[in-house]
Amino acid sequence: MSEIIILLLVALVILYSVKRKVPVYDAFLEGAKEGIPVVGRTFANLLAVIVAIGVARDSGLLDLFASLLSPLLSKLGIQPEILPLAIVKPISGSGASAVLSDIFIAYHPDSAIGKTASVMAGSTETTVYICALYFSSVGIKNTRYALPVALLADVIGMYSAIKIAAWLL
Amino acid sequence: MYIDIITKILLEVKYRYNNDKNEEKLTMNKVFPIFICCGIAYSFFNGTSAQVFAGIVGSCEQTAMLCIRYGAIWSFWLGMMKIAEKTGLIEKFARLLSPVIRFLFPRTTSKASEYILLNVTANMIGIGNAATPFGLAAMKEMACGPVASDDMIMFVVLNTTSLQLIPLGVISLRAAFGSAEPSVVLLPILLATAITTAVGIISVKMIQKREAVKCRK
Repeated sequence: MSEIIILLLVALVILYSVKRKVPVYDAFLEGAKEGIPVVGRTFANLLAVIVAIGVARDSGLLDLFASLLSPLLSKLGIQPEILPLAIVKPISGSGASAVLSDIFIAYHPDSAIGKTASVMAGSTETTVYICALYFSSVGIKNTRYALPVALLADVIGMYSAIKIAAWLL
Repeated sequence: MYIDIITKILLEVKYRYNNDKNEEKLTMNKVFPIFICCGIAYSFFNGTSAQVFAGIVGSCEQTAMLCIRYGAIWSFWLGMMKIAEKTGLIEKFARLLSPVIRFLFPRTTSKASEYILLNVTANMIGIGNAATPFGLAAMKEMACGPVASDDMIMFVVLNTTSLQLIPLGVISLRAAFGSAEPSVVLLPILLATAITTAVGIISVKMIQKREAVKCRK
């Protein structure tokens, strides 16, 4: 179903550009060559986060935290493996990608945990970071209710992501 | 029209954009040592030093694989986006959105709403990198004094809730790690992000009714 939507969009965009006589192939190359520089710029960042999380996980530290919190989490119906993603996602975008790929390695993207983590990662943005960036860029000191509302939306969004994943996937 | 605006804004916000990286680095400067040092210390206590050491090598290999596979898949979508941009499809989509922007930001100037429109469009079609320069330009247009106005808060909250129509980032990452059905999460994500966005918009509108701070420029 989802595949069909995306493939249809791809075909429609290409058909439309042929109709508008846009040089499709040139445009594609122009866009696609921007991809590797983006990855190159984030490489060191990704490496640092993946190694740091790997050390915490392999030492057993993450399991310790998860087992401490698991009574509360299981009452809410949250898998403890998802917790690192929920904590990192509002703070750092590349950090969240690293945590998500870590979950994919450990549990595979098609497992229940992998699917739930995917939905959660897509449900919000890097809230704290965006608030800090946008407000500080114009020198605003008093952000009033912005951060509480944004974080409330995050918590509700991520919790519904878990419920939706359990319901639909 | 697009390329003109983009280059102008990119030049204008280049300095600030460099600053924004520092925000994330500030947090990471604290998180990175905590994870590494606490992990290593705990591994001595837990007897898992061998796993931790092997894990560092494994993490490096994992990062390399991630960059190659994810980079290639991501590049493909960037190519498709460029085609959509050149044919004017993205501009058409932006025009469809403009009534919504007028409802959400009743007090902004027309220049600010143009930047808001470009920012929201970029966010919705999943090119977050392109959204940031537009977003900062919109903030600059709306700025007035040290207190955030209601429209500014609505704008920032809208950016933090990420209403994405097609979550290409997550789908590409799933594909890179060998998912048999990477795009199966499309509809669930759409639903979840719609809830996040709805909660954000409704809360802001409700608070605005109680205590409105208008910008007098």
